[in-house]
Amino acid sequence: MFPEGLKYTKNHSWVKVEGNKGKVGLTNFAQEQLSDIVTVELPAVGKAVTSMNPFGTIESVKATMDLITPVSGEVTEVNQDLNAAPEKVNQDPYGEGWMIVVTMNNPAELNSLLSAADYKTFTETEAAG
Amino acid sequence: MATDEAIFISCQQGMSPPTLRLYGWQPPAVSLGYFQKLESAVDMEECRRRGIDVVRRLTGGRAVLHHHELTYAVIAPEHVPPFSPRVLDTYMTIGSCLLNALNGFGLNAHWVALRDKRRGGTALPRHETACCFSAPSWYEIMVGGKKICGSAQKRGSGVFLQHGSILIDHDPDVLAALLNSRKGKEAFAWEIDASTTSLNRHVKATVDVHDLGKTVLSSFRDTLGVTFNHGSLNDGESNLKDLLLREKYQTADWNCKGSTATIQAA
Repeated sequence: MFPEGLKYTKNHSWVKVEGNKGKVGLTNFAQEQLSDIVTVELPAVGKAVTSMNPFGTIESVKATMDLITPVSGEVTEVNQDLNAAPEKVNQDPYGEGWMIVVTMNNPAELNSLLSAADYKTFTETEAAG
Repeated sequence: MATDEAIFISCQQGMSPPTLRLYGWQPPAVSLGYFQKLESAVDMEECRRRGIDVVRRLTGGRAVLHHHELTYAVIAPEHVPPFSPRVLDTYMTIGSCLLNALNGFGLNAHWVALRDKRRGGTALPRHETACCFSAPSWYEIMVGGKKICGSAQKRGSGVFLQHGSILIDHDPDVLAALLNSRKGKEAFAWEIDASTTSLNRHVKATVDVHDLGKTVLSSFRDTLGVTFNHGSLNDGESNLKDLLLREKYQTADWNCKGSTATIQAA
């Protein structure tokens, strides 16, 4: 599951760009690796985030992982539904499992992100171990 | 905990080799999972009374009492064989080493029978207990149907840290006294006793932490077919550990994260 129209990172985050805003989440590949997700820790609205740095932490029954933002800017929306229903990241990672919206301050960063095809190739390498 | 994280960060920076760290705790301590709420998980008054430290881990999961146990930590790049970017594969690889070590003492250790529900297995219930050993998770190691080893993993920047506790001895009443449960202390102790075991309950001669450490090291070497260079922290790791101790693991901000309770520096 590698939706077209999104940009991806090797840290398994995705961003969907609409104007100067980027909606960010965790990829289907990553949620499958983590297995059942039990907690998602997200930043507060207004927090400044920097591309390729952590913006939160996710915990599954087997591992915790830093959540990495593909883009820099200010967090303008947070998916509060994940507090009560973190399993939405498992069930719908590109939809209801979205995490934050970032108002981007450096859209040029998008050029260094992976396309769906490139990310798919990357995950196939990962899966081969 | 500071040392584990220092090696983890240093490995992310390419400054540390794949590392197996084996250690015990003095004084004994309760380690909390990254997301656990201090006040609902730990009876702080009882911990203070018994001289037990409390510290939050970098990894998730639930509370562990580090006393009469061996703590292991494996830190390595995800892509370095025999490890894998896949979380469960790494669990299986490290778990095989732990399993063989326990069976080296004559135990009949086995994997927990539960499996990933999306692979056709049974879903685990959401844990309501604060205690790591009260309920098994997938791919954990058990003896006689009871958990003997609890593990947790953290991943970031292409490196993983998996650490865990192998129980040499345990006292359910002590653990129930130190941790909180809505069930009440007596029922909680019973639950822990029903779900937890330790090495000395299964062997004739008492095992100490040094025996276990040597056996675990041999098992990693033989199971993985690797050699180990005995070492201590390099300068970078040591400096980072000191920094993390000072600015993270000895602070209430970290240890009381998300809590209204307070604790003394661990």
